This record gives sequence, structure tokens and C-alpha cells, in this order.
Amino acid sequence: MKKRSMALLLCLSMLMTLVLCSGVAWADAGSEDGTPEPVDWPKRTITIQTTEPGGDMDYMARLLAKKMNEDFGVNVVVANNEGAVPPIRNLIAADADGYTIWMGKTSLPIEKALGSMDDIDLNEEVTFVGNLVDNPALCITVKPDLGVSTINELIELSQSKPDELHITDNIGSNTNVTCMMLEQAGAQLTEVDVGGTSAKMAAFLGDHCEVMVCSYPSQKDYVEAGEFVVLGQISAERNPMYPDVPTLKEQGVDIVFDTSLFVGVKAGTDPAIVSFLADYLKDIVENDEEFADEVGTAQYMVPAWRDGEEVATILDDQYQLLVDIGFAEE
Amino acid sequence: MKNKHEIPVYSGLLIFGAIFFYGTFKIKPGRAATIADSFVPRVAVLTMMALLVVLLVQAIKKQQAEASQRTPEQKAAARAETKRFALRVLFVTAVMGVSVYLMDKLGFVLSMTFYLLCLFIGLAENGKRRWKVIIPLALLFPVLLFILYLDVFSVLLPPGIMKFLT
Amino acid sequence: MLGQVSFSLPQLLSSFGGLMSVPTLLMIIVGVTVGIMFGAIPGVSCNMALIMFIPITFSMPSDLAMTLLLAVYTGGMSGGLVSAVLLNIPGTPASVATSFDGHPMAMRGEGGKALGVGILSSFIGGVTSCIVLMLLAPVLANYAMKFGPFEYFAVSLFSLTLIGGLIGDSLIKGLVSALLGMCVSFIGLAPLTSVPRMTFGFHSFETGMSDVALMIGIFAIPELVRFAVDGSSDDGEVIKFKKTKGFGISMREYFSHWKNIIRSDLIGIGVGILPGIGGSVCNILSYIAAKKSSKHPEKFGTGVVDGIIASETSNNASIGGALVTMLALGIPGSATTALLISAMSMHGVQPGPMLFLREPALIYTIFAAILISNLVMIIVETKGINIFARMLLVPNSILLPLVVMMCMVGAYTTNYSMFDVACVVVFGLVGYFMQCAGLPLAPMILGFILGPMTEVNLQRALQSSRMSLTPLFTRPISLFFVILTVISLVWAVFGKRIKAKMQKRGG
Repeated sequence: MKKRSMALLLCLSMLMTLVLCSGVAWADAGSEDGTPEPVDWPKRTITIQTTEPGGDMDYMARLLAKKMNEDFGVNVVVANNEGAVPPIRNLIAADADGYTIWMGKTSLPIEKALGSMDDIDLNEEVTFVGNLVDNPALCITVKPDLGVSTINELIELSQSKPDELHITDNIGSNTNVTCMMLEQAGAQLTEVDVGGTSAKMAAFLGDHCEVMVCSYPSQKDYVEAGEFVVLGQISAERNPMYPDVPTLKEQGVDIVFDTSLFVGVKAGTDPAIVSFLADYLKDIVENDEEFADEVGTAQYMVPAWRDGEEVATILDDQYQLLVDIGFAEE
Repeated sequence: MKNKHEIPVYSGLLIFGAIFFYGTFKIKPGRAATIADSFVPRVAVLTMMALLVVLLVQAIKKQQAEASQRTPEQKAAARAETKRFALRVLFVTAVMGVSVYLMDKLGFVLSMTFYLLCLFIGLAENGKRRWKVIIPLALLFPVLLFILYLDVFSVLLPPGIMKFLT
Repeated sequence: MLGQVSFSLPQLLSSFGGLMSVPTLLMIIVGVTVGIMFGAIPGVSCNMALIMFIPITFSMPSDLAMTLLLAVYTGGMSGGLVSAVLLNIPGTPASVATSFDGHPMAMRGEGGKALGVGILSSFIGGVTSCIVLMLLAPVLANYAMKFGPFEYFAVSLFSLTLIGGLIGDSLIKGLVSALLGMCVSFIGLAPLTSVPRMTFGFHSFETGMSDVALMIGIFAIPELVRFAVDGSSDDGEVIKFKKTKGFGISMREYFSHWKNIIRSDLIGIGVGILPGIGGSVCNILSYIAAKKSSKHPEKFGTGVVDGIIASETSNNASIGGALVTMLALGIPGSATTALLISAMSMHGVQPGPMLFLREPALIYTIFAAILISNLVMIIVETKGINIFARMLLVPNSILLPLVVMMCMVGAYTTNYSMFDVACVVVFGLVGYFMQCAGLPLAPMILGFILGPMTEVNLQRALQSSRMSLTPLFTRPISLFFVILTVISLVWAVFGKRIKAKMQKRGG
């Protein structure tokens, strides 16, 4: 008797939990964004394939998931993967029905350069939908006691004591590309692979490295307190959210590596669905102030719409840049 | 727990070690100025294999000593025991293996229902099968779990052919 | 910057006041309970619970959001002890060592006492590490920063040598197990260069072997297979569970273990502070330390409370440590703290030194939330002891397949990968066969976690010093751990002889 009721209790409690919690997560199936739906999509759960939880792509995917859930009334699930390439493989393995979406970053050509995507031809397998936001660019940072305040001063200092200064690196990432370009600009620093953003901060704070390559938002507090000195960022233009930070380019050091986030679907998806999705996203990016606010506050990202073809061109250009600096083979 | 089946286990691990070691020769050189990527794995696997050889030799000696002391009845009993053991392990392995394969093709709900049914029935002692618990549990639990994960955690378990559930 | 921060008791007390409303307390209770449930089910972790709750917290003010999430974290870290004791399957990797002594106690009918001791230890670990966090966060944060690759390498080496202390009968078997764990951890992409290693061209191998598979599946599936093979009685009622009053242990008896408690606490905090290592490692290290310092080490593994105290105190203490790094430096030490940071940033709050200066109210609310969560946890879990025990009544033929299924689910949901699910089955079977041969499983976990850590840091260290090992011996912290490593190695190999000699001299 006891054992049966135990098992029954199990079933019942599952049902109860379901009933109790479903109120919590159930989408408000009513509200739409006002645009008439010319396509019969989406009608069921959408999966957004992206990278690790906690990163900027994951954040964007979850934000998009929330919006699509509110606007279309369907469940939108974020599938996290380790690394930039597994989401693409999962996208390719899925059906071309528009129910699997890929959130990617334009630093992807680095993966191609490393050879981890040799079996994938992006232009054949993926249809790019559009670019959503621009990421805050990496900055070159030093501590005040190093005694430099511009990038050129740093390069000169490093040449006067070659290989003595350490710079945080993260092999196989855009930090790595930055270090390489810095080297080509004349800097003589010892590269130390430390890992991701938090590891870089730890290494820099702990004086294991004298120079750090890291995005501005992560170090903002320290900069404002005067403990860090940002020499410049590697974007083409200054970021409107922190307009006082100069670019390396304007200081005469031609290091530019911007990244942005984009969305893609499997090639072969109904073009009507693709253009519907593109219009929907474009509307959010260009007109939704709440969206701009949220991405700006949380991640210092700037909304910037570019259509699918432009995204493909950007990726090719980025790869060409990598070839030019010797990071990638032709 | 008695240390039975030491010899096959050590041998299996040695085979794994050999394959692993072979794999270290296929590692392409990388871009960083530091020790080779094959260095630490090789040290680890070679040490492991060396220790395994020691263990294997000890186990073989022990088994030979035991075997010479055993009567034919004991040997037959041991063989029957091993057969029973192998069958049961094979059963559980097969159920799990097939379920994982089916999870990809048919989806979470169907594969796990199959898995639960097989194990609930197969593992319960004869005559003690609580059908009134087993059947509803095996049929309901996977589908409820699927819905729970999707609606509450926003996690999509493999839908397989049951796309209508999503 | 952090040097300006000092602790203020009045602020803490007023933060308590702020949380003392019925809706908030209810929310904490729900959070802790859900955390415990998730921690108790092997294969499902508190990260899953956090991912579920984070969207709910979007609409809450930031202090309540953090309160809820911290409640879940606290419950989740502790919940693993329930299944570790009752099923011999740790609910989370942080409770692996709890099963070593917890389950034997349950088999003897002392499950209630085992649970009670574990719960009390979780509470003490959680509260004391929170107090340390409150008083010393800036100091500890600065200490954590001193750890560079050489230091991490030295710490990993030292931890690996401790494996000798885990194994009762055979050092060789323990080493084989640990090395196996290390080898498995190397399958995937190389840490610095991202070059594929031992993947034989399979793309699924490139992300490495699944953590959940190795750390949970390897305990759960052997239980299932063993049950299938042994055909032991399916009836849960064979083992009598004494109805437990309170914690099942007197306060006097519990606190007679004060040395163990303090040591495990410090290990938990120290390990928790370092990014990259946390609950899954410190519970094992703490157990080993307790065993080595004990007057009756041979009793460990048979069912002594010392082992449970060591494991559960340190894993909850690691929360305080992890929060030091997260709050004071804004550095996530684990996937869990990364989720917490992500949740905070969605509220426009950036953890880091400025947080202490700019938003002291939030910081103190966080402290108060942790303390209250620990209180709620101990109440909920203690009341729950007799309910948890009912788990033992469910027939193994039903319970074990369900648990293994949850492990498969847990493996899938980490990376949305069927390959990881296959890993659970494969490693589970490997674990079973290892147990058959007498190869212990816990060292394999240590090897799996510490292997990459050792290699990455060695590579990084050599890269930064241009292939010189000198800094390993000249940097104070790494030298300290190198010395400890040597002592540990010598003891592991010659320990028995040295002990015998010392006894001869004494006698």
C-alpha cells in the first residue's frame, strides 16, 4: 500500500508542479506586434542555437526568445553549446523549417582560420537573416603606474624593453587577433594566454600582466575609479555609450576588428519565412526603444540592422582581414 | 565488493590506453609558444598503462593461484555465475543503448517510455511486478517531464517524431 | 579601491528588516525548497533551477531577484546530500564524498543521523562562509588575485597527490583511476591552441566528455547495474529507518568534531574563492584532509560522521568563497556564479568593487539573504528528513531507472547534445566495471577536473615565463604548494614506514 501510494504521489506531484508552474511561464498568447502574418509560421516551439550561457550571444538569444514568445505566443527555447561551431552543426542537422535559428557573431572567421569549420561551407548551408547589434569593441588597457597614456607610448615603451611586458591573450579569439595586429604595429609584448574576460581581469588585477585586452563594459568601474587607463578601442568608430574612449585608428594605429551579432537559418528555408523573420527583427532593431535600452544597459551593445547579404559580405571581409595579417591561410 | 573480473577490466583499460596513445600522435602542432599539446596526455596515459600492467600481472597471478585450488564443481558454479552476470549486464546495457539511439530518432517521450517499461519489468522480481504502478508511470512520466521541461524550464528535450508536442 | 570598504553591522541589521516581509520570506522558502529538490535529484542541478527562475526575476527589483537566486543556490548546494546518503548516488558533484560514509550509515539504519549531520554541516558551512564574506571580502579578493598560472599549477599538483589519501587498499588503483580521469578529460580541444586531441575526426568529441556524465552518471548507472546483477531485495523496507528527532545527533557530539568543522570550512572557503574550482573539488579534498588528520582513518568509508561533516561543511562554505570573487571582483568562478552575474547585469547591476561602494544596500541585502536562506534550508531539510527517508521505500526497480533517466536528461540539457547522453551510458558502464575490479571512482573525478586545470596552467605558466619553471619556486604562494606537494608525495609513498618508525620510537 505504501509503495503504490509513493509512486502515485510521484505522478500527482509532477502534475501539480506542472499546473502550478505553468502559470508562471506560459506565454501571453494574445499580443502580436500588429503586423499581419502572411506566413503560417511560427506555430510551434522555436529553438535558438547559440554559445555558452552567460555570454553576450546567450544574452541576446534569451532577449530575442522573450520577445518572440510575447509576440508570437510560441515557446522559444535557447540551446546553449560549448563553442561557436557546434550551434552551426546543430542548425545544419535540423530541418529547414524555420524552427531552428542560429545566433552567431561576426568573429566566426577566426574559427574558420583555426580549421574547426573545414567541413562546413557557410554560404551553402546557411541563409543569413540579418545583423542585430554591434558589440562593444575590445580595449587596450594598462595601469596608471606604467606611465603611458596613448597607444603609441605603449608601443614605444614595449620596444624599449622588449618582451618584458605581458599582455593578456586568449588564443583563438578576437583577443588573439588583436595581439597579433598589435605585434605587427610594432609592439614587443609577451603574450600570455589566460582565457576569457573574467580570467583576463583576474590576471590584470593580480599584476600577472601589465597590459590587458578586454571590452570596456567589463572594466568600466575600474576605469571610472581611475585604477585602469584605457589607451584605446579597436572599433572603427567611438562607441556612443562611452564617447570619451578613443579608437586606436584615430591615434594612427590601424587596428580595427569590430564584431556584431547576427541571426541565421538553414539554407533552403522557405524565403517567405526568412523575409518575415527579417522584417520582424529589423522592426525591433530600428524602432524598438525598449530593446535599445535593454541591450545598451546590460551589454553596451548598439542596435544596428544589416540585411542577410551584408552579413555574408562582412564575414568574407573579416576572413580576408585575417588572411592579410597572417592569422589565416588563404 | 569482491574484486571479480579484474583481468578483463584491466585489459579493456589497456586497450583504451593504447588507442589514446596512438591518438596523441595525430595531434597537429598549435599556435602557442609552450609545451606540446601531446606532452601531458602522453605522460598521463603511459603512467596509467604502466600501473595497469602491474595490476594485471598481480591479478593473473592471483587467479592462477585460485584456479589451481578450485574443484570442478566450484569452477562450473563460477562459470554459471559469470554467465548470469553477463546476461544481466547485457540486458541493462542493451536497454540503455537502444533507448539512447531511439531518443535521437523517435524522441524523448517514446524512447524513455520504452526504457522505463523494459527496466521496470525486467528488474522487478518475478511475481512482484506492480503493474498498476509500472504502466502509468512509464507512460505518463516521460511525457509529463517533456512538457514540464518545455513550458517551465524552456528546455526542449529531443522531440523526435512527436513534434506536435512542442 | 576595495580597501575603503568596511563592514557595518547596523546596515546588515536593517537589511534583515528589509527582507522580513511575508511575501519575501515565502519566496525564499520556495527558492530554497526548489534548490534542495533540484540538488537532490541526480542529473538535475541548481543551475537548471537558476535558469528557470532568472526570467521570473526580470520583473522583480534587483534586491529581491538576488535574494531568490541565492536561496536557490544555497538549497541546491546542500540538496545533493539527500540522494548521496539514501541512494549512494550524489545529487550533485559537490556531495560525492558525502556518499562514502553517508550511505553506509543509511544501510545500518542510521540514515536519519547521516542526513541530520549533513544538514547541520551545510548550515554551519554556509553561515560561517557568509560571515567571512561579509567581514573579509576585499582582503580575500586581493588574495585570490595573487593566484596566477604557476600558483594554480602548484595547487592542482598538490590536489592530485592527495589521491593517495583517498584509497584504503591500493594506491596504484587510485592512481590508475585518477589518470584515467585525466586522460578522458584531455579528449577534445587542446586548452590553449584549440587543436583537436584524440578526437579521431569525430566532431562530437571536440567539446570534450560531458561533465554530468562523468560526475553523476558514473555513480548512478553502477547502482542500477549492480541492482540488476545482484538481484538484491527490491523491497525498500528491509532497511529500518529510525524515525529521527531533530538532527539525529546531539549538539555535544556534533561539536566535538570542531577541528574537522573548522578545517573543512576553511578548505571550502579557500577553494571556493579561486575561480575555476568549487564545490565539486573541495568536498573530496576536505574528506581526504579529515581522513588524514583523524585518529581512526580506517573507519572512514564504513560510516562515520566525520566524513559527512568534512564534505558538507566545505561544499556549502565554498558558496561564500565563490561569492567573494563574484561580488568583490565581478569574476565568475563557475557556471553557477556566471549565471548569477548574468542575472545581475540584466538588472543593470555590475558586480565588482564599485558594487560595494555604490550599492551597499544591495550588498547587505545579499548577505542577509544568504543568512536567511541558510536558516530556511536547515529548517526545511530537517523537517524533511523523515519525508526524504520515504524515498527508501520506493522499490529500487522503479527508483533506479528513474534516477538514471534524470541523469540522461541532465546530460542532454547541458549542451543540447545526444552525444552527452551516450556518454552517460558509456561512462556509467565503465564506472560499473571499474567498481567490479575494485578501482575507486572518486579519484577519477578528481583527475577529470584537475587534469585540464593542471595542463592549462602549466602551459600558460610556461608561456608567460618563456619556458622557465623558475617562477614556480620563486613565487611565494606556488612555492608553498610545491612544498606541500612534496610532503604529500613522500607521505603517500613512505607514510606507513614513517608512522611505524615513529611508533617504535614512542613505544
